[in-house]
Amino acid sequence: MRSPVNLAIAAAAVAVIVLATAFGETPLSLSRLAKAYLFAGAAGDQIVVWEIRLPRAVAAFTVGAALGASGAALQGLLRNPLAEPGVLGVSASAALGGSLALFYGAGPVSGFTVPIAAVIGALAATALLSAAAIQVRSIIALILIGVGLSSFAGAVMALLLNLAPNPISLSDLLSWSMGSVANRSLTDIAFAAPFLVAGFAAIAASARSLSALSLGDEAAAGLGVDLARTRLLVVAGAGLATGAAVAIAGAIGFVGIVAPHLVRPFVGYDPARTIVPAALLGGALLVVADIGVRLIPTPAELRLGVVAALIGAPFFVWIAAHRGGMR
Amino acid sequence: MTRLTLNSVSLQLGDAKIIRDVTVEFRSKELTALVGANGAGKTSLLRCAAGIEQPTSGAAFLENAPLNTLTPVARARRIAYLPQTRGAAWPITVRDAVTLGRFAYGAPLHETSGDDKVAVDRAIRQCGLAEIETRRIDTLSGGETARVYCARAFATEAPVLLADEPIASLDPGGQLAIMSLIRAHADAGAGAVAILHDLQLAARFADRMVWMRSGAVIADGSPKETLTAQTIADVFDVASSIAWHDDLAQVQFLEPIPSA
Repeated sequence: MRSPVNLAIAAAAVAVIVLATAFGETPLSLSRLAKAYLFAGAAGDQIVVWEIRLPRAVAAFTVGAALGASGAALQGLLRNPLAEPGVLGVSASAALGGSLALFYGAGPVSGFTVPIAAVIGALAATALLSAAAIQVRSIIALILIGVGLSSFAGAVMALLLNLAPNPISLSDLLSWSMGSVANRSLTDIAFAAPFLVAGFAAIAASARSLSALSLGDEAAAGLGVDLARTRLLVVAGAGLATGAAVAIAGAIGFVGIVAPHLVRPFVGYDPARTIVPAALLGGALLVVADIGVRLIPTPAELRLGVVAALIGAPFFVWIAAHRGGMR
Repeated sequence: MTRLTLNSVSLQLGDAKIIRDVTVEFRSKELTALVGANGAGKTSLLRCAAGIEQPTSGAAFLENAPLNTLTPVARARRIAYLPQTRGAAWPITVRDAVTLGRFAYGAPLHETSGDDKVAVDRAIRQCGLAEIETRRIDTLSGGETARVYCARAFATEAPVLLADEPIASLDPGGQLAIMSLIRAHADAGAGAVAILHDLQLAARFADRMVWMRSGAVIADGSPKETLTAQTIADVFDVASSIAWHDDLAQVQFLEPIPSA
């Protein structure tokens, strides 16, 4: 945990979160920003920083961290750097769960409704994938199952859009499916927090076993790994964390593949040591992407999920094409 | 003295009877070669002995404790299991791969300390890996990789070693190197069982040969007693001639024996 790599990425994450609060409709100079943070600035600045921009940056970081950790854990379990909540259809299933909750207007009943629905969607997908993983033993087949899950979830989402009773719910659903952290409050994060904490805890508990899985299921079992328990921890952990992330921001892909890939060389490719820096970097990357969303001059503000996919999808193709000999 | 005992073990997967009522005991300081045709149930027997597969009937015992009453970690501290080698999923270093042998003791991959460091250092030295301990395992030759997996098993310091085809696909030098390491491991006090296809190497290095056919043990004894043309015919359906030069056997396979 206290390795130089983690400290460096954590420091960078804090820096970009602070930096992110300087950007927006009214750019704030560093001195105005500092005063607002110290409650010494104009009242308007303080509200903008503390109640709008900081929650948004924290939401982006939280979502990225959840996806980075989920990606690292799924990759460790499936022993493949291409495994990721988005690619495997977990994010789409979570988004479907959340959309169904929105569509049937359950939102106002309790703040927990959408997070719970999203987590259920994500858990259903991870459970199905892990059951399939035991059966098929091939990552290609597994990714194809993920593609199928994504397509199915996408189709049902399209059906919901099709059936949306009025333009307001249509735009709700659309913004959900594109992914964004704009206008997120600390309350939104708080409702997702219990699921995030549980997810991170489950993933952390599986970490050592993931190292042993480097040598294959059979060798890991011989080393004393409880395979069933490890699988359950990762499936539950990635499901909870991804579901919570989707509940906050909608479906955002590829963070879970980019972040672990970048940190791996710095931790000796050890799956256990990949998780924490992948979470920190995933968070930082999404904060940076969310700054990009605001800086790129477009008529309508770009959606974070769109930007993440525009950067992440080519990266995914690149990793897939360069894997060469490693199975 | 450690004893690993299989007592009337049978294993059925679906309709297939993989192991039929096998009773066998493995002891410390003894290297046992498990031989037999492909599909004879050798790997399944080894997995039952390792506690990774649960027999359909019968049971495996370590000393007098049924294996299935031990936790995975307690079992792994007593039995080192070396499955047929497959590539590692990640290009971890040689030292990290060996350190995984200490998983059951809670050792993290980096910064080994105390007993873990002693065990890992010793295993690396024994297997001649000191020069390459910082190399990534995806850059190693087949022979080096086999030595890494051996070192991983030795680092566990378990009194029992079960190895599934540890010398498959190695060149002659590599085969001799691994067999010598396992022999030395047994001489140092461990009970070792290795699935082998090379009968000559088995006869040379092992104290005992256990012969399997169709899920059953059909011969069990010293190489001198059991390595005969008759046993080879019974186990492999192949005619052979065997010449002994002191303790070295020379086996010539002549032709398949048509099934009756």
